[in-house]
Amino acid sequence: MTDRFSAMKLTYGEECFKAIQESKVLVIGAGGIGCEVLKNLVLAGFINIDVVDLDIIDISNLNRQFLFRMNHVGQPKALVAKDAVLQYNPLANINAYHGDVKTQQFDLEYFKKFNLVLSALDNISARRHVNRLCLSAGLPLVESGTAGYLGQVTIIKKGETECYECHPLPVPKQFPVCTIRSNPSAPIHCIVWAKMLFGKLFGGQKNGGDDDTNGITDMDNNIISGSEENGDIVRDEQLLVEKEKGYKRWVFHKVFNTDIQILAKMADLWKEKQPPSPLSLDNILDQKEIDETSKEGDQLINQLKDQKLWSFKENVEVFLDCAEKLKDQSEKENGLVWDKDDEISLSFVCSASNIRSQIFNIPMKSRFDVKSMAGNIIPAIGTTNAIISGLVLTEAIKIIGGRFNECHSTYLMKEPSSRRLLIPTSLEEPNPKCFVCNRNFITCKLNTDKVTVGKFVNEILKKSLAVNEPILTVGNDLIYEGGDQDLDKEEIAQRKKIEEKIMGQYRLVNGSQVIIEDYNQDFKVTMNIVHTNEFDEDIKKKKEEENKDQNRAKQQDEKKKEEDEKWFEIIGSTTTPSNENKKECDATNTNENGMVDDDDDFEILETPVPESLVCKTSSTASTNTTTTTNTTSLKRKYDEEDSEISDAKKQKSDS
Amino acid sequence: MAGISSARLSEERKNWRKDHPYGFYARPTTNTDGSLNLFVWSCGIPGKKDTIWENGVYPLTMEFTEDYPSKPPKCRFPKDFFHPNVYPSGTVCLSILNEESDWKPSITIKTVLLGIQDLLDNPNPKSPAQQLPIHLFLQDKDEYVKKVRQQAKSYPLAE
Repeated sequence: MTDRFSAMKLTYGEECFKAIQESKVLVIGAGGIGCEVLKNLVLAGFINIDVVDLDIIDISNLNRQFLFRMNHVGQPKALVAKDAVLQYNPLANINAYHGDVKTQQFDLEYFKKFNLVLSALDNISARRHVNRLCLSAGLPLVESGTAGYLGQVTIIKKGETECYECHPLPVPKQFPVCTIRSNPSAPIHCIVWAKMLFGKLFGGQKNGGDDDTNGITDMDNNIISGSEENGDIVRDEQLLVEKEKGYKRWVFHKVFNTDIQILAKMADLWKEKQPPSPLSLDNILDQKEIDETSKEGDQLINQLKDQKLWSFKENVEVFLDCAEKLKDQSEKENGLVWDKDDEISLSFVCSASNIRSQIFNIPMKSRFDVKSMAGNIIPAIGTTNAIISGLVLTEAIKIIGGRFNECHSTYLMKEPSSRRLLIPTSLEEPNPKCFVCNRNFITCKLNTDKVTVGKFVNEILKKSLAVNEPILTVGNDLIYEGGDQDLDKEEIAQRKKIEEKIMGQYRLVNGSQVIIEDYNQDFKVTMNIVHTNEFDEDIKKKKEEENKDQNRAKQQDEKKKEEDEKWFEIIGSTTTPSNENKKECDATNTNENGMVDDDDDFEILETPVPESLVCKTSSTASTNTTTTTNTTSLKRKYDEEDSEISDAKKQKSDS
Repeated sequence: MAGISSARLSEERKNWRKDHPYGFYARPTTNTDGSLNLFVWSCGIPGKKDTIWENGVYPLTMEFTEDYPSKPPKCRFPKDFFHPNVYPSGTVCLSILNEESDWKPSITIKTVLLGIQDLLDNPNPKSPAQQLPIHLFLQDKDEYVKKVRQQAKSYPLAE
C-alpha cells in the first residue's frame, strides 16, 4: 500500500490498520447510505468487501447516491457501485451481487465468511432478516438508517447488545374501516378512502377482493333506508338517472350523493358534529358543459403547480375526467394497481379525497401533499446519509480494531440538544425476553433428500434434542404439530401424512430456518437445516474405524448396528467467547441428564469423531431442556459407568 | 421473514389447544401441502344460551397481518351475515378490534371470540354497519328476532 493510508495508520496504529486490511466486510444495500459507506470503507483501507443490493438505479437516486451517473440509470446498484469505488482504490477486492439478501444465495454459510456486516437497508423486513442471520452466525452488525434529517447508527452483537428486534418496532398507522367508511375526521382518512375507491372501481380482479369494498358500498345499491319487506324502503332514484348519463356521472353521484345520504341518515354518528351533505353535480357544473370541462380539466392537470390547492370546482372537474380515463385504461389492462407516480391515478385520488373532505368539513390538500401522504414518502437527504455513514465507518473500525467496548449507538437529531446534533448513547443490554436474540440457534446437517419428516421429528428432535411434543414453524406456517391430547382424529391423520413426506419435499429444505417449540416445555430453538450427502459416503469408513478403535462399543449393543450409522450432525451456533465456557458447563449437566435417558444416542456417542454431536447452545431460561453436549465428557461417562446405562433406560420408560 | 407475529400466533395456537371456551373452535387454516397457515384462522362462535342466537355456531374467519399483535386481526363472518355491527362484506365492527379505540396487543384470540359472542346479542346501535339489521333492530324487533332465528338455523351445531 502506498502512503495514501499513512494518516489512517497514524490515527489508528499499524496493528489496527492491518486488521482493517485483513478483515472481510459485507455491505448490504448500495443505496443512499450504502454508496457513502462503500466509499468510506475503501478510502479507509478496507480491501475485502462484498456488496449486495437488489435494486436498479432510478433517476431519482442521482441527487444523493453519488456513485451513480445519468448513464447508469436502469443498471444494478451493486455492480455500478463496485466499479465506481474501485476507482478510489483499484486494489480493493470487491464482490458485487445484484440480488435479494433474503434469498438462499445469501445463507448462513455465506454470512459466516465475514468478520463484520454493515447494513444499509431501507426496509424493516430485510433488516430483521439480516439481524437474525448475524445473530445466528455470531457476527457483529452495524445497523444504520435515516429518515429526513434524522439518523441512527447502532451495533448489534449476540449476547452483548440489544438486537434489532429486542423491542417491538413501531408499525405504520392503519385506520379502522369504520373511520374510513363512515366517519372521516382528517385528510388522511379521505385519502385512504380515495385509494380504496380507486381499487374498487379500477382494480379489476387483479387488485379486487371484497376487502376493499368495505370502504365503498355496492355500486348499484341505491337503498337509502328501510327495507323491501317492511315496505318503508327509500331509494335514491336519481342514481339510475345518473347512470344513464354516463360512467363518470354515475360514480360521482353514487359516492358523493347516494352514499352520503345513507351516512347522513345514521343519526348517532352526527350528534356532536354536522352531518355530511350530499352533492349534486348539476349544482356544481352546467350540465351541457361537462364534456368540454373535462378537456379543460386535462389541461389543468398539466398546467397547475402540484403544490397549489385546487378549487372545489377544479377538483370536481379533475375527478370526472380521471374517472373516465381510468375506466378505459382499466378495461384495456384488465385492472389497475394504484401508483403514486402515475399522473392520472394520483389526480383521481387527490380530487376524490378533496371532494370527500369538503363534504365532511375537512381541509383539502394539494396534489403534492396527497402524493406524499398516499405514497408514504419520507424525503431522503444526502447530508444525513453522509453523516450517518461516517459514523458507520467509525464504529466498524472500532469493532475490527478490537475495541468493541468503545462502541456507541448514535442518534442524529434535527434540533441540537445541549448544542449537539449527534447524541451518542451506550449500547443497551439484550432484552432477556427478546424472542429473536435470546433464542438458541443450532444447525442440523443431514440428507434432506432421504430423511422423512417423521424420522427427523422422532430421531433428531425427540431423541437427540429431548423435545417432547415438537411444534415446528417455518415462516408463517405451522408445519408440524406434536401432542395428541387435544387434536382431533383428522388432525392426527394429517400429521401422519406429513410424517411420511421427505423433508426436502416438505418445507425442510437446505437453508430452511425452522423454529422448534415444545407443546408443554418452555423450549424454543431455531434450527438451520443444511443438506449434505457426506454421511452417506462416510458411513462405511467410519464403521471400520469404529470397529478398530472402540471394541467396547461393538459389544455394547449388537442389534443397534444398523442404526449406529451417523446420518446427521447438529452444530451449535458460535456464541460469544466471553460466556461460552460458562454456558457449556451449565449445559453439560442438563445434557447428561437429557441424553442418558435415551438409548439411541449411542449411535452418536460411539462415533469416534468428536464433532459427531457438538451442540453448543447458550444457557438461557430454556436450557433445562436444551441439549448442549460435550462429547468427550459424555463418552467418558459411558466408558466408566456402563452399568448405569440400563438404569437410565429404565428411568426413561418410567417417565 | 415472520417475526413477533408468527411467534405470537403459534403461542396463541398452543394456548387455545390447552384451553378454550366450550362450544367454540379456532384453528389455523390448512395449506395445500398440509401445513397450517398461522395468519388465517377459521373459527366458530356459538350463540349464547337463552338468547335469540342460541343453537347456532357462527363461522368466523380471522386474518392476521405481520403487524399483529400491534394491530388487531380482521374478523369476518360470511358475506351478508345478519347483524347490525357487521358490514355487508362480513367484517365485524367492534371496539376491541379497532386499533384506534380498544385494541391492545395483550388481547388474545379467546378474548376476541368471546367479545364477538357477546356482541351477537348486544349490538351497538352507535356503530351501525349494515342498514337492514340496524333498521329492524331499532324499529321492528319482531322481524329482527325472526331474521336472527332463521339465521341460527342455517348455522346448526355440529352433529
